[in-house]
Formats: sequence, structure tokens, C-alpha cells
Amino acid sequence: MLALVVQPLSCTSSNRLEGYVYYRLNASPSTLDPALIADVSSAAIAAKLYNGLVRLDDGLGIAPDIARKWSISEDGLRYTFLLRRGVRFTNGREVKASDFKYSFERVLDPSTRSPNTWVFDKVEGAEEFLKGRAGEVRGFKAKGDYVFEITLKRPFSPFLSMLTMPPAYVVPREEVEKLGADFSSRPSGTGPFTLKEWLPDRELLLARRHDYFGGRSRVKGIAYRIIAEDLTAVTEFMLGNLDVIALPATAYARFKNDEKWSRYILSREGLNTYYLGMNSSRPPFDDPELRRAVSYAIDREKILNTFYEGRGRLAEGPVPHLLRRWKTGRPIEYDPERARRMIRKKGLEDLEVDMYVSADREVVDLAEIIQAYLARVGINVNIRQLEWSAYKDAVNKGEPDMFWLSWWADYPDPENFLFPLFHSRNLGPGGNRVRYVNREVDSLIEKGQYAVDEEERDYFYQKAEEIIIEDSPWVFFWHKTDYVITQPWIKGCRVYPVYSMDKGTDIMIDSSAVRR
Amino acid sequence: MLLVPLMFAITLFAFFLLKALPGDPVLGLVGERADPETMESMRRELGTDKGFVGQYAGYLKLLLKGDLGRSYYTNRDVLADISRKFPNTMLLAFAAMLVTVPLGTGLGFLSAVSAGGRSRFLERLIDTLSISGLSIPVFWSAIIIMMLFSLKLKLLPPSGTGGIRFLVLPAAVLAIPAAATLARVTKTTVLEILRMPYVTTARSKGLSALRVQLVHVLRNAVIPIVTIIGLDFGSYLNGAVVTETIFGWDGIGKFTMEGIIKRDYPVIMGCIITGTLVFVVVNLITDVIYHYLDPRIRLNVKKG
Amino acid sequence: MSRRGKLSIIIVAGFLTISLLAPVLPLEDPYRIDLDSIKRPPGLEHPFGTDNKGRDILARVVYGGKISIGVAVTAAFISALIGFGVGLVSGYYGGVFDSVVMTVVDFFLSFPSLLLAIAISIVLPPGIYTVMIALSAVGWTSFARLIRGHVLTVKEMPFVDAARTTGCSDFRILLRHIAPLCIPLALVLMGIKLGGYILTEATLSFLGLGAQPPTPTWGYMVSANRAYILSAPWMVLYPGLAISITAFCFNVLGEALRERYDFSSDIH
Repeated sequence: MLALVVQPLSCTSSNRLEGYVYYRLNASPSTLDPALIADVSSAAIAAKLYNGLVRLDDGLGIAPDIARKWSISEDGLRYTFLLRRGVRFTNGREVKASDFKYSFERVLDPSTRSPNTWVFDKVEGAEEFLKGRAGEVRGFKAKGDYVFEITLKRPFSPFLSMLTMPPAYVVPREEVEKLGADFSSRPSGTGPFTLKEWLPDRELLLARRHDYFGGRSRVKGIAYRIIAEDLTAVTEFMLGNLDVIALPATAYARFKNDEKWSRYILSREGLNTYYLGMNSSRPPFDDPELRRAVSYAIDREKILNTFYEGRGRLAEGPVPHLLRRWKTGRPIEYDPERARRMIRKKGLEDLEVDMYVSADREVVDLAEIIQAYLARVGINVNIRQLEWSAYKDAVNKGEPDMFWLSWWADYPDPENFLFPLFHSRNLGPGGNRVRYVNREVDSLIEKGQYAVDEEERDYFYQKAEEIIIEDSPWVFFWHKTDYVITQPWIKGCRVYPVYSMDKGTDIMIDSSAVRR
Repeated sequence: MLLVPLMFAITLFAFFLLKALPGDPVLGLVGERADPETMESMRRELGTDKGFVGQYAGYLKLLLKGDLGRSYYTNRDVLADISRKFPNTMLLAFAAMLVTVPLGTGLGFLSAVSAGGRSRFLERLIDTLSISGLSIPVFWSAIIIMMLFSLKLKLLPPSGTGGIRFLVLPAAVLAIPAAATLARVTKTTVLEILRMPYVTTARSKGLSALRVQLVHVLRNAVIPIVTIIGLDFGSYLNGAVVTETIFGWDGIGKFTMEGIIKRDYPVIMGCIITGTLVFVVVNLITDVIYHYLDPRIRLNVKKG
Repeated sequence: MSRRGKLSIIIVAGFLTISLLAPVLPLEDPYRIDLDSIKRPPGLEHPFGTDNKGRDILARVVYGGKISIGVAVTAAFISALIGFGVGLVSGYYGGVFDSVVMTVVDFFLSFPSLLLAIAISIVLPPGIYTVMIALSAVGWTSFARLIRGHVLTVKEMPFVDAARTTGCSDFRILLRHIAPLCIPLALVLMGIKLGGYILTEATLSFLGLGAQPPTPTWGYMVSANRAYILSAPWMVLYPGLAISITAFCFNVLGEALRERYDFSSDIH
């Protein structure tokens, strides 16, 4: 009877679990198997279920995870990790060094069909294993139960950073073998949470683990509601049914200008770069001067401050400010007259180019704005919208003259914003979608990768970036800022620049402040 | 019966569309994410080296086995996903029907009665309401209703599962155009019957005769109304595509919309075939109800 | 015709005129991007406000109307033409051909119309022509059924027999005697169906299957801007109202026509 009376008072509330923090996901995660994860949603959840050797700390430096200490040999080839004792999988078994060997080899194993083999392909013996010529990877050695050693073919400075990624999480062999393909939906790891329930396309529930080696999390569990519509998600948030949401661009102004809510908006500059890519392998954009003219023609700052409502930081080059330990030169400024002159000088007025964009409303809007700016200097842009996978395909194959894309850090190292994107080895699907080829840049990037000393590394990357900015294969737009909004009763929520940093152990519900 | 050739026609149509898609029809069923084994077996089933008829036969075999292909994106079996989501849409349609039938017939009846009276105010009001109900696009009414009843008035939740209150808003949105159509048909039917000679004579003879005729009236009125309820079902399926998306209702409507946005052909085709099949079955049921109500009408009566 | 019907004809004619005259009316350029006037609420300079790129919404609504009404009217014509031809031949000759055709018609009527329109639209590249094709493909069946029914009645009439005995070819009979009697019917049905076409076009545009941006269509405007309803509701309100009011007026006209010409109630 009481329930019938109480019910009408909370007619708009959803069925919430007590003590759980409610987040929102746009779409169902594709898999929770760390070896197979290739998208941010799935990775963010996996971070709460699994651990690796190392993790990232607040300053984006490397911190211990399951490895409590490590050392790198003088020549930069051998990484030795001392593991913690007493770290247990959900089935109770303790994690040993051999588990890491198994987990890492599994990523390289052709039968796993992992898209993440690139994480480990620098390890000695990896190539042979990938090609099936060896039964194991020489470079992974379990020395006893608590010492794990990795040997690389050549020194590779970002390697330790890469070990913070999901493919480097440790998984229990017996569960993987028992479950086979089901392991994707029935994860079993060492993390602060376990998967309690997964209702596809509806909800995911993570429950707290009491014996987590890093200390019990402060909430009973985390729930992810799958809500595809931004409008619905924002409504649910305003009704108190969601605790934390990534603030959609369309709702930003609404909350920012609202006194009651604006103090609950959290933000952090993101580790990403948004850009307009120009196909540098063929006319007309094989000409660096024309590319620079395009940069002059677009008032990126104005677009950022008006259309984009200031939700980012103007990009001077491909490497985000958070990772750039050096200074760059003067950024390219808006100068349409100069652009017009340059184009006229080349006799290229009324140039027609194709711009491909993905079928995302915001992207299409940006494309139209860019189209308008370029029209003013004599370049006619034809916009073609494609749905996401067709778009990816076309861009990877080098079909369009121009395209709009972004690059998000896999790991916080400037190399991640140089090598995949501008090295000639990575043309197309590897990341270098503008098909930019510059031998000098190639060699500078490689020198940075092999350098053991950090200052040396930075020097090479700085030089490489300078050339890239000068050559302008991209119009560098901005580094998008991540915005998150929380309910008043949520404490300890932080925005992390890399999804894998959020293990869900900081957030708290202040039950005295709960009001729904 | 119409069902068998109709299903042939629908599958043939679906197959036409599959062939009309640019590229390899096998890709139209499983997408590139699928593993090579799946693609190979699909190729064998479809028999892409055979002629058109051969391929169609292969396609039919696949459908009969319940293989609607795999999603381009999730690589999950389409039929499995549809089976999971389908009951949710049925639940929504059923809820919408619970609102539509009393609302539509009630308003239609009132309108007819008012038409015979002196002041035709009620009739005109209901007429205007009906036409309005038919003129508002479902996607717009869904947004407005969610904003109004969820956000502003805080009466009902905008999404989620686990209770009747989650059904109310989406069902109401679906019910609006359906109730409008039903109201108009009811009004016309009731008017026709009220004007029939035996009714007017019954009236002049006195109340008891009228009561005897009333049963006959109702019986005859029910038939076209039942037809419309069957056809309204089609409008629930139509409306569900957008309504489920906006309210986050996990049914085949939302599945279709996601498929459309992502150009996930196996999903789109699977949903269309399922939706049509359901619609045909529902109309078949209404035919049967016809027959039960008035055995003089043959099963093959042509629907309007 | 009822007073309401006459009024609706005037209003519909008004819409048609405005959409045809759009380019010469004193409107802002619906495509002009103005980053300094983003999301302005309705005011003197922009009676319907501006969108998130600074474009004038009134202009976009009027131009969008041009497209919606244009597509609906054209599709109605095409459906009528196809249905007319098919119904005429089917009703006159009867027999196996007639049975086959009516089965096909029943088939098309068995599809929930939107699903069928979607099925057709995904195979073709998105755009206004695709929408016209989809609408016609779904709508011709009502015409076919209606005209066929009428032909069945008409062909038994004495003057047809007379024409036959004087040696007129079938073709001539169809063209000069029967067809003209069916034209008013077809026109009326066109009027009735217009409202539905407007709604279906809007829905297809909402789904992204209609004319592509930057071309303004009402459905796309509601779809693309729906999440802005909390911060800039005019971006969604006006296109939505435009669809509803236009469909309403066309439907009222259709209703008036239906009353006037007294069809049986189950025409779709």
C-alpha cells in the first residue's frame, strides 16, 4: 500500500539501484575482451574491470598498476617488471608473470583476430609468432612467478605508455579457454569492479569488488544506461535519473548559462586534435603553398569561439599542448587576402574540390562553414556526406581531396600524434590519411622513437612538428575540451584526458545531498 | 489464402533490393567485419555463381532457416536481435491500441451522435481534433510530448523499462494518429448505420425495437472498425521507427532507425521483412474476426 | 462545398503560391552562414530566429516548404498517372491481368507504407527524387484501385456498348470515352492524399533520406536540431509547426473533397 502512495511522488524516476552511480553510453559496447577492444566506450568500461602492468597518473606519467616496480636497461631494449603479490582474478586465482605472457601473446595470436597487434609488434619474436613460424614470443619472459620481462627488437620510447592500454590488460587463461567467444561478454579480470549484468542495448551494471588490490571503490557499483538520443539523455539527467553525463554540444549553452548547473560542469582539455585533412599525394593539394593558403582562408579562431562555443583550444600543430614539452613558432593566422593572392598567383580561382564528411550533424555544419570561407577565396568545395564506415573506407583509400577528422590519443606520448599520422609507413588505414610523405620528417620521427634520452626525443619531435606545420598537410583546428556534468550529490568525479585512467575508484555519492 | 503468395512477393521484393544494393550481395547480408568462414558459407548458400532464380532460391532457404544475416556493425545475428527487441515493440503497440480503441471509437461515436443533433459543435470539434491528430508528424509530437510531460510537468519518465509508467508517453504518441483515423471511420460508419431505414423505422416504432436493432447496428459497425484497428497496426509500426528512437524504447522501430543511419542493410531488411510479416498476420487475424462476426462475408474480402 | 472546404482551397493555393514565389520574396538567403548571429531568438531582424550557424530560419522554413510541397504535389501527379493507367487497363480488360494487378496492388497495400518508402529510399542515393519515387511507388495503388473500380462500373454503360458496335477500337474507347469520366475522381483522390505525402516526405527527411543539407527541408531541420530544443527551441518549433499546419490545411482540403464527392470511407 505504501508503495502505491509513494509511487506517484517519483513518477519520473527510473528504476535505480541504491548506491550505484549512473552514467550514460551512446551505444552498446562492442566487446569487453581487452584484446579485441577498439573503441573508446568499450575501453572505458574495460578499465574498470581489468588492470595491466602500469597505468597513467594524473600528470600523464607512468604509475604502477600490477607491476610495483620496473626498470629499463641502458640500451632501452629490456623492460623488467616486479609484480605485486596477492592480486587476484575474480575466480580467486593469483596473478603470476606467466599470465602476462599469456595475455600479451594472445593479442598477437592470429586466431584471436585482434585489431591491436600493433601494440606488441615491436617485441622481439613477435613477427615470427604473428606469421606462425614460432609457437611463442621470445621477447615475453616470465622469470619466476613475480618477475616479467619484455625485450624489444629496437628501443622504442613510447612503449611503456602503450602498456597502459586495454590490449595490455591481464586476463585469466582458464576463463578465456572455458568461455571462448563468450569471453567478450563475460569478462573476468582483476579490476575494482565486476560485470554484474549486461542487458544489450539497455543497461550495463558493474558491481564493486571487495578484495580489489588498489582499495575498495567508494560506490557500490556503476551503471551505464544506453541512451542513444542526446535529448533523452539530457532530460534524464535533469530529472535526476543519471548522475554523470558527457555534456552534449547541443546542451552546453543551456547548462553553462544556468546558475544552478554551471558549477557542476567539469572540464579538461582533451588529448586530441581536430583537423581538415588535405590529400597531399595528388593535385591540387600536393602543393604545400596551396595548403597553406587554405589555412589562411579559414578563421578557425572565430569558428571556435562562435559556432563551437569556445569548447576547445586552438591548435597550432598536431601535438596537443598537454603533451608538447617544447614551444612552437607562430601559428598560422586568418588572412583571407593573403590566401586570395596566393590562389590568384597560381591561377587557381574557381578550383573545385571534394570534401568528404561523416554523416554527423555537427561535422556537416562545420563543413558548410568551411565551404563558405573557402568560397570567399575562390575555392569551390563540394561536400559529400557518407555514413561512418563507408566514410572511413573512402578516406583510408585516399578518395577525397579534403576531409574532416579527429585523432584521439591512444597513449599520452607526442609520438602518437606524429608517427601514425605523418610517417610514410602509415599511409591510409595506418593513420596517415592525408598521404603525406616527407623523408626528413620520417627520419626525425624515427630518431625520436629510438632515442633513449627524453630531451633528445623532444628535440627530434619538435623539429618534425615544425616541418609538418610549415608543410600544412592539415588545417589544424582545435583540441576539443571534454565537458562532463554531474549531479549535486556526486563528489570526487574527475574528467580524465585518457579514458583508461578512470578506474571508477574516486567517485562518491553524498547520500545526504540526494534529492530526486 | 493471400498469405502465401504475399510472403513470396515480400521476400522477392527484399531480394530485389538486396541485389539492387551496390556491391556484393553477400556483403549486403554480413558486412566486411564478418569472419571469412561466415562469408564463405553465406556465399555458398546464396550461390552467387548461380543465376537470378538460383540465388533467390538460396536466399529463400536462408530466410526459412531463420538466417537474416549479421549486422555490419555489431556482427551479431540479426534474427537474434530482432527476436529480442520484437516483443518490446509488440508491447508498445498493444499499449497504444489500449489507448486508441476507446479514444477513437468514443470520439467517433460522439461525433456521429452530435452530427445528428441540433448543435454540431461537438462534431466539428472532434473533426478538427481528428484532422490535427493526423497532421502532426510523429517525430515532432514525440519530442513535444517528452518535453512537456517529462521535463516541464515532471509527470512521466522519458525512457527506461520496468513499469507501466515507461510505456505511457510512447504509447500515447503512437496512439494519436491511430485514434484520429479510428475516430473518423467510426463516425462515418455509425452515421451510415444510423441513417439506415430499419434504424429509423425502429426508432419510430419505439424503444424496444430499437434495442433489438442496436445489437445488429453494433455488429455491423464493428466490422469496418476492426479493419481499421488492423490497419492502425501498420501505423504503429510506422510510427515506432521514430517514437522508439526518441524515447529510447528498445524495439525493432529503434533498431530500424539505427540501421538506416548506419546503412546497416541486413538490419534494415530484417526489420522490414519482420514488420511486414507481422502486419500481414495481424490483418489476417482481423479477417478471421470478420468471419466470426458475420459468416456471410468471405475470408477473401478485399481490404480497402 | 462546405465553407471550410472553400477556405482550405484558398489557403492551400496560398501555400503553393508562396513556395513558387520564394526566390523573389524579400527573404534572407537561407544558405547564408553568419557566425556572429548564432542562435538568435526570434526578433525583428530574424522573425523566426537563427540556427546554430546564423542562418535565418524564416527563410529556411519558406524554402523548405517549397521542397515539401513541390515533392508532395509532384509525387501525387506521378502516383495518379501510374495508378490511372494501370487501373484503366486492368478494369477494362479484366481477366488474369486484372487478378495479377490487383494482387500486386494488395501486396503494396500490405506494407506499412513508411517501411516500404524506407526500403526504396535506402537503395537509391538520398535526395528529393528518391523521395518522389518512394512516395509514388507507395501511393499509386490507391489510384489504381479506385480507377479500376470506377471503370468496372462505367464499362457496362450503354454508350460504351454503342461505341463498340460502331467499331471503335478498345484503345479509342478507353481514351475518349472512359478515361475522361475517371479524371475528376483521380483529381479528388490526389487532393485527399496530399496531406499524407507531406507527412511522409517530412518523415523521410527526418530519417536523412530526403534532400541533403544544406538544402533546407522541414524534416531534416527538426531532426538535426532536436537536441537544441532546450537551449534554442525556435530551431525546432517553427519547422515542426510548418509541417503540421501545412499537412492540416491539405488534409482539410482532402476532407472537404471527400465529403463533396462522397466516396466510400475506406480509401487510403
